[in-house]
Amino acid sequence: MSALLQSPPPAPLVQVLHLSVSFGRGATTNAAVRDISFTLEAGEILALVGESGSGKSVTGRALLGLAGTGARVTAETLEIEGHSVLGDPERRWRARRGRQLGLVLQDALVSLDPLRQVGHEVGEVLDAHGIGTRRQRHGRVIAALREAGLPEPERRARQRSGQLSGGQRQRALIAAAIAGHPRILIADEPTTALDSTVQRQLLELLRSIAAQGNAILLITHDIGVVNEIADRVAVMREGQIVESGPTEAILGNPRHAYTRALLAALPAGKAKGVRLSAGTAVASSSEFRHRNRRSWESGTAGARGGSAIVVDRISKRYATTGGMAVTAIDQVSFTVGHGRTLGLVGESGAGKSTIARILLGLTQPDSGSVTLLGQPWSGVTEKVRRPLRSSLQMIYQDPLSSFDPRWDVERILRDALRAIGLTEREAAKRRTLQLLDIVGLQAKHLPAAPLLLSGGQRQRVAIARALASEPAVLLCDEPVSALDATTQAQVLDLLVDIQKAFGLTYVFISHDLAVIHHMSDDILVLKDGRVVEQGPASEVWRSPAHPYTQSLFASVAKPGGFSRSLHPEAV
Amino acid sequence: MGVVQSYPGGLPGQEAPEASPAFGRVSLLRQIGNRIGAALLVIWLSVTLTFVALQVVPGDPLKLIMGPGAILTPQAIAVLRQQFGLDQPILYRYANYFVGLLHGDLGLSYRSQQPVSSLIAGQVLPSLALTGAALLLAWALAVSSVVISARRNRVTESIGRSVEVTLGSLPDFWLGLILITVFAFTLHWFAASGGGFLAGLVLPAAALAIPLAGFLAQVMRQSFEDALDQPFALSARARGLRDWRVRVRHALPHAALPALALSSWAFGWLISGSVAIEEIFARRGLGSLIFTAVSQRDFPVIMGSVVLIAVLYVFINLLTDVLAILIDPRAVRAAEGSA
Repeated sequence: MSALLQSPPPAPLVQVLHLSVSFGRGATTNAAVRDISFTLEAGEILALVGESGSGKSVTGRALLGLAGTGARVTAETLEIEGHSVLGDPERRWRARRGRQLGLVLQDALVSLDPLRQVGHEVGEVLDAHGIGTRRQRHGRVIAALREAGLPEPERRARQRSGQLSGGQRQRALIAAAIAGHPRILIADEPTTALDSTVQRQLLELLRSIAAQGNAILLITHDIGVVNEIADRVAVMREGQIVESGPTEAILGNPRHAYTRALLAALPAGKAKGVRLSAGTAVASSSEFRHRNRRSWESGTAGARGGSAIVVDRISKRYATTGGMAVTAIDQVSFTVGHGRTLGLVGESGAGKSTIARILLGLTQPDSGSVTLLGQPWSGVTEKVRRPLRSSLQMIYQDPLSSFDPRWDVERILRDALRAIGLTEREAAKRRTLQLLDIVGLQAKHLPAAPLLLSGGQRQRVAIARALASEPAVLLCDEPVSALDATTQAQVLDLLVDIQKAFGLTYVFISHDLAVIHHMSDDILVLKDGRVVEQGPASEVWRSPAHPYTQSLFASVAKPGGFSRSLHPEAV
Repeated sequence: MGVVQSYPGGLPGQEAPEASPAFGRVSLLRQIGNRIGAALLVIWLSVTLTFVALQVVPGDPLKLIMGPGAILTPQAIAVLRQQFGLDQPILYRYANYFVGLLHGDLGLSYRSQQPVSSLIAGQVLPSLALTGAALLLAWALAVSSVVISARRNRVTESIGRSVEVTLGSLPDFWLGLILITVFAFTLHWFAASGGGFLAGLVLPAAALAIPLAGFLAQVMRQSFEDALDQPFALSARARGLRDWRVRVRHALPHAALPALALSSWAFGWLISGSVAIEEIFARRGLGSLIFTAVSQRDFPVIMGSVVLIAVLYVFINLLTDVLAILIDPRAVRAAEGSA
């Protein structure tokens, strides 16, 4: 290192000029990345932000020479630590991987080989490059795990991917990337699957890695993350960089229309009623209401007055295989008024899913009671529950897995209509089209298989299916967590429109506080199965009372522009 | 009770609860207990089913014992009946067989009047050598084919795939005849029969292994390709790992699991396949012993062979389960969940 200090010209760690990546040949050529240029300096975090399919991941992988099979990579300049790497043979690329550039993927059970010990995964980079003796390698593995902030590194090193929590696994992935001391890290959605507190810790870790003179290319779709730690940001769309510059400038004063749309799509700090997506509100047109409202009222009007859902001191304990009992939820109470939205927030294991299962009538609480639309819902037989079932529907995070993959959209909706006894062909057809219209899809989508639809379209189909039985209550379990920011905005707007048009009651479950705040009238904060805070959304958002809520909300970008909550100096 | 392989999407909140060491030991002990119980059940069921089946087969055992041409006086018949215990009621004979079984007594062969246990003992080793060699060879062929050809260019891949399908659909006895014709009669590389322990093993083992290899490879290929598509394979490449090491270290263990689960089934398949193969190559072994016993209706020998094969089968099952747990410790928990 010290020898290097004598050569002063501070070349950027990565210099990319006019990089293009395309797949396929001839007529089927698909340009994933088109003519982009950027530099990455030591000590800096550059965020590539964009939606899925914008080419940001391919860009990151192209820097590693891993753009994929059949990828054609062209560039005027592609320099890594001052050396041109264009046209290098695979052997040279391999020597670079892990030592000059490290890759951090999004946490998933399978981001680390689930069959191998974490220590072996982390040490693989040393093994691949023949660095050190076995003992030295082990020492470096433990050190890397410790640098990545994983407690008890010796024990963790012997465990496997499935035995770690999401946050621990993400730390192990970072440890694996830094074990070979690369100066450039390519972090592809490194915090996306994590709870907000864990996310915040990991962003701090990335910050401190950069502060040691390393460079990080942060690939993300999450503007909140960009705001938190990136020094500069490049906004990508359809393979091109549409705008780039210092984070404050881009986020504070976006010039490109697409950047503005991305920012407008952020639910953070926007109270209920503020639209997130461009375009007209389908359901707010009076014609729409007139067309669709009539059939509804008859179904739910009788139940009006009072609360749609009353949950009174429910508790649930589960027995584990070891013979111990785990309390999933403890004395939880809430009511949801007709046409209102209750937001359920909490981290993994807080008891959100158990509450959802009890509301669905799939699990019975050990004690306490649930009343749905004025009727007893818990502690009764399924026979009593069945007539009410159609008034309660659910939409999930991953609609795809809730569809039969061989069915097309028409069959999915027809099936839902048959469940409520609408079998007459013409009427069912009319109703199917009507449902599609409500969710902003057209007749042309009827023959489509869900697999071929985009994530947003799939979620729209799921909503249409849920609406088929004209429910009074809709249970939304992380319905937008898997979607891009702008798609998320559209789906959230749609849900708001539908609620307004049909007077639906929502129970909205999410780990994303910004989304919860934007959607809810009231918020319920859960921790370890207990309610720690409960109140009107605006109040909880503005001045959270419980320390846990405060810590949760501290990691979310607040209204009033982008005041950076995490400064590099603070780390 | 195969090995369940899955790639959960890694959703937040879906983490495996951490097992404490004590908990792990208890579950392992319970599993071993379950296994032994299941093994005894398998052996009991196979003995009983064979016993019943042999009682249902038409024909007087005594005629079978003495051969079709024998003419016996009624006194001689009575003596013989008593000698073989055939004058006892069925349930008594059934119980008696089990009592003998517990003492390691499998009875006398109807034909040769020799103890069944010593008849079988002479055939076990050649049989185990043949099935073991066939299984190892099948694995070697399947692993090479998959590691070499999976997820390469389109041509290599489709060659690998079609070779596997073709091999998987070859009948073993036909393959045995072809191998003899080519390598024994034409090329004179190996003897058609006999020819030393190892040299005599090559052709019959190959005849059994090749179709099995095609079958195993098709099973492995799917999991192998799935594993190569997983993020951990990309992570491994990004650490500078060579392609073949990504294949061998990361993808192969994932591919081995389903093939391992299949291997205990394959053992049974090999035993039945060896009946024809041992005939063709004039080898000694359980296959030819059973073949002769069945054609001569030598019930005690059939029963004894069935017992032995059931025991071996159970043992092989246990072995593949242990290997699966060595590759994937999660299998303990998965099996526990399904038990």
